[in-house]
Amino acid sequence: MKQIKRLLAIYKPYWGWFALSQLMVLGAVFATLLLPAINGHLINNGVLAKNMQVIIYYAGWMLLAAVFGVVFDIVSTVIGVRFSEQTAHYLRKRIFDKVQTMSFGNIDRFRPSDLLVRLTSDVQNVKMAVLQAITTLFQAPFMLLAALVLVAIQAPSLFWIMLVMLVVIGILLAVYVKVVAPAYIARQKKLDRVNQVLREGLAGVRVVKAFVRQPFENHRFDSAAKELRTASIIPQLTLSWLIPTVLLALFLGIDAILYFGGTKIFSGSGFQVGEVLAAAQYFIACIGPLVMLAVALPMITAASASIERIFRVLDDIADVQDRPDVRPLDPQALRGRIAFENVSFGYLDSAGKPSSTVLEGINLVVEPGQTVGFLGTTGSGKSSLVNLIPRFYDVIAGRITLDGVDLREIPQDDLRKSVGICLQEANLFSGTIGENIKFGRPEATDDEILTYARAADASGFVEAIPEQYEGRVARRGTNFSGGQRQRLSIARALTLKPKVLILDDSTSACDVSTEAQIQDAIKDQMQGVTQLLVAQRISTVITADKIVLLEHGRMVAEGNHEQLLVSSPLYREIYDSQLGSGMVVSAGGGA
Amino acid sequence: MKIPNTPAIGSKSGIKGSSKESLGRVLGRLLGYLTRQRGRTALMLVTMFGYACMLAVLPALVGEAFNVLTNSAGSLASLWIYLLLILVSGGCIWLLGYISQRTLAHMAQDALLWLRKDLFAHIQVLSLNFFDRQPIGELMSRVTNDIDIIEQFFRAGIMQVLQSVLTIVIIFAAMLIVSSELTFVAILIVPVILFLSWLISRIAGPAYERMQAETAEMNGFAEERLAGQKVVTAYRQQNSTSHFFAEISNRLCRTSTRAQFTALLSGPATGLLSNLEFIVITIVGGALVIGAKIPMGDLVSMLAYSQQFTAPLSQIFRIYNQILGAAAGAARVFSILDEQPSVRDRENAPALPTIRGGVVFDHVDFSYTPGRTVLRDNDFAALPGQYFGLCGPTGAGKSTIINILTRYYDLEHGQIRVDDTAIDSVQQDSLRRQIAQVLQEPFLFSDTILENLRYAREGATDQECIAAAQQANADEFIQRQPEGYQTTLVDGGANISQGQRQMLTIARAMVANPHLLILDEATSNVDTRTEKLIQEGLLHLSQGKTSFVIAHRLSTIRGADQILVVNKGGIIERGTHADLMAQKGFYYNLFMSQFRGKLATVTGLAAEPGGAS
Repeated sequence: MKQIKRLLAIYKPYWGWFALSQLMVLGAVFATLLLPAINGHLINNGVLAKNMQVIIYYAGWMLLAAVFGVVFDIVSTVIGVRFSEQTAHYLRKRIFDKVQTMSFGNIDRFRPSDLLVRLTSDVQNVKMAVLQAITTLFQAPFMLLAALVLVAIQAPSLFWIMLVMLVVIGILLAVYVKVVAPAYIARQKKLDRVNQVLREGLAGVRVVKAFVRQPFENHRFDSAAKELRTASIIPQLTLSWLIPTVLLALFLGIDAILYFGGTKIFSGSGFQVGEVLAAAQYFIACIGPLVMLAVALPMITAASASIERIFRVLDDIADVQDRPDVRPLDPQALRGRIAFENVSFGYLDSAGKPSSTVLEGINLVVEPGQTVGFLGTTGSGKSSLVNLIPRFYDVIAGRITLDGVDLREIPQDDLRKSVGICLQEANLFSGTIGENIKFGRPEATDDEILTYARAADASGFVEAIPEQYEGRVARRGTNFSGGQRQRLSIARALTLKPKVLILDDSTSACDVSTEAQIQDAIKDQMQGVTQLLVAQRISTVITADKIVLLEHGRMVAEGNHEQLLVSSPLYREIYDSQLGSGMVVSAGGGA
Repeated sequence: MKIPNTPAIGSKSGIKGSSKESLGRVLGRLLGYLTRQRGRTALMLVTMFGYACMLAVLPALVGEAFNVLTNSAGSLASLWIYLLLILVSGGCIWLLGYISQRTLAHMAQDALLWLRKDLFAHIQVLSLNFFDRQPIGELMSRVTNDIDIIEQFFRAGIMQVLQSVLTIVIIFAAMLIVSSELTFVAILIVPVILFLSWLISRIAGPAYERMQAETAEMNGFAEERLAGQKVVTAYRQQNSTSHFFAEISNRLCRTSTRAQFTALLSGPATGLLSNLEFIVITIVGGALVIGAKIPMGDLVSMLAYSQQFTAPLSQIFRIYNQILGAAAGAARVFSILDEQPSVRDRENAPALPTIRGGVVFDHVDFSYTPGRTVLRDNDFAALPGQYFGLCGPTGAGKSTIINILTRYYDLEHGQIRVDDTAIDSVQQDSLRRQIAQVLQEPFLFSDTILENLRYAREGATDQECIAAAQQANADEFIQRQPEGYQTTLVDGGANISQGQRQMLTIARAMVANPHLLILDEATSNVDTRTEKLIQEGLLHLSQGKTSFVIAHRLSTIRGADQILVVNKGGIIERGTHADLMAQKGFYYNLFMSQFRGKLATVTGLAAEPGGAS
């Protein structure tokens, strides 16, 4: 309910339009009710009086009411559709813009797939509910109220029946909402479970097929889906008693009108049949809107859960923010010296507290133009470490400086202009190959694109495509292999012409000789650029000026290949396990 | 999973709602799910029919009551009869309405359950090429979205439609009974409404299709950008991305407004028509009453009927947008269900008998998409128990060789035989049951460790699973888990380390324990102690089995009986490590490039005592 109120606040500037729409709904309701009212007169003064002229006269009025009714109806539909579509557009934009301000930590916590659901299903739910709220939600209450007024005017003695009716229906609806709202929340949990099984079944399809376990997966899915069914039916079952009960109440009302009206007529109090008829017809006219309310209510209840989820995204605050005292960075004067001073780091949980320490006591200096490799097991903190340099995350303790300036004193935008990173996951976007390469620097020339594609060893396969750099990249780059995607994303990083270049395990899908070629080409192209290489393979970093060995978030060794072979037993072990004890080569088949 | 070297051509052939399938056919098929249980359907129809009948009887009763009121001979006593009848019919309406709507609710939820189950089961049956065509995330969001939309319609809309249709039929009959003259007037409206609905569907239909297409476009864009949000942030493209999205969203907003409006316009339009009809009946009926052709009460009930006759029509049109939406969602769901697996068992294909593990590739050509050959003339034979290593550059076709040995894809030319049986002549399942696979990505399920191990072979005992874990060196760390083998893995194993996940997948393959093993080495790095444990585990696993190992580190396959060097879809070198090194060819270069000219220091190191063991 609180969330719905917040949503309503969005409409403040448009409340005039909303008022107009409801006025129109009210108008349409009146027009609908006027018909039986005029009809009552027509029957009393025309048909019963056997006067055809009066019939035609009142028929004219009925026509007028009908035409006005439809005009009102159309206007309220137009406003309803516009409101709902604009709401959808507005919410989509707000959510998407919010995501654009998010730091990596926020993105990690909200998972992209969940954000997509907020942007699609949840917005859709809200949209449909807004439409229903404007066009139908108030129709039934208005109808009942209008009927109340008309009865009060035409047949005041029957007024109390209408009033009792209204109260009864009001109570029924209140009970319904009370029962159904928690049922929807319970249902959502079951739906999440179904989606989880679905996701696993799809993501693990190779494993499922490999072990021929489709029946098992089906069984698992079935039980989740059955639970969802059990939870989903509750709101529907509630609805199945609500509508008949409302109708029953209506019939009782009609009975009461006939009885009391009839008593009055028979007692000869001058009560007109037409008045009783009109009152009865108002009742019958209320059936339609009440039934439509049954369609609108579940939608609105379902939407309130969606609204809450949307606001949870909109209320999120970016982990990393520019301080007010930042000073712009001059990219020309930048040398590219990076220093970690006693840095500790941990990922924040949703409460904003570091959940566990990922890096601890990191002290490291990378001199301008140096190439530094980071080696360590999966989960040792290599990626986390380099992700701190473009300030994707903030350190928990200590500080990182670029040319002696604390990163937190540099605007994020300036920093990322000079620090180019090629992320672990090589994400490409739909568009042309050229557009992807110059993604970070749209003003890059065709020559530059060519140069950097060549450096990243991407020119070969790109130029084999007839359209070359104009060739299409499908959504998410699915028309390229993993290795090709990696090479394109390296080209994308190089095109930034950064002062500091970070390659986060960016050549893992390329074979060693390709990797070596790329490294040599980068060295030629990027002279004077500080390079940080994260690697799984020792061969990736073997030629680096400095290799940093990480274990459990701590630096355990530092030095070049030759130094480490001598000084670090761990390095030697890794070397052994990956490249084999090199002398077997010469020892031949002796092993 | 990857389609190597496919040039960038807009060959996106994901699931799209085939617009060729007519609205009626799709809705009919959806209705088929709803009415699958005959008994229930009958109960629902009978009670709903009764419900609609009673609703139709009501105006007649009210009309009769008014006849009593207007009749000079009328009395309170005769009114009472009708009051009672109205009350009784009210009770009947309550009961019938409750039963029918309750039954329909069960039918609707069962239909959704079956639809979900069918969809999931069918997706499981589809061959891998289906998954190559679209990212899992896209498939996932599409499936959930579409079923969502159908559910929205099933929640209340479907009841509306059914009830409306039944009501129209009944009211028509009732009108005929009351006054055939007025019925004639009343049904004059039907062709007009039919024409109108045809007209509107002609406008709204295409508008809806455009809206669906733009929705798909927006979802696609959002999906891609959200998945790559970190890249957007890292390359400071937030503003341009925002701007681009706003444009797409705005375009959708406009198209959607148009589509919804045209669809919903039919509501007021039919409303107007029904009111016109009401007026005409009043005039004609009034004239008839004046001419003493029909009694007053008949006109009253006729008027009520005319409203009841047209109200359901306009109610259907008021939720026309929901119907169109559900139909579009259903069309996309059905298009997945209609997708045929590309790899199918031959008719009456026998099960593969227990194998010894001999594998022959007989001049195998293969392509993922026709015309783009990925493997060319692959020819080799592995004897039972042999250890085969596969290496070569990325995209050379190593994974493809594995994909076709397990028959995830069918060949273009040539034959693969296992123990002299062509693999496409036997049941796929019987083949895969005899091949243990360790995939590159250690995928585990959110279940207990024990159940994850048992995943490889239904009916494996706890002892067998534990023994396999011991063999794979996984037992030790499992025992250290809070609940040992009963520890539940969350989120695909996020609560254990990468190396531990790998060991579990090895143990899992060990549980399957067949004669043929396929191993795609993980690229991730684990600490050297774990690495050693994994290597040992693999060694245990491969013992006595014909093994195919795709190596990312050449050291893994150095001891292989035969190494196949794959490049550009062909086997360019083969032999043992020593043979290949002696050839000084492709393999030799591949091997040496790992050292990047640092081999000298290595050799130097080797001279040091105890440098390596």
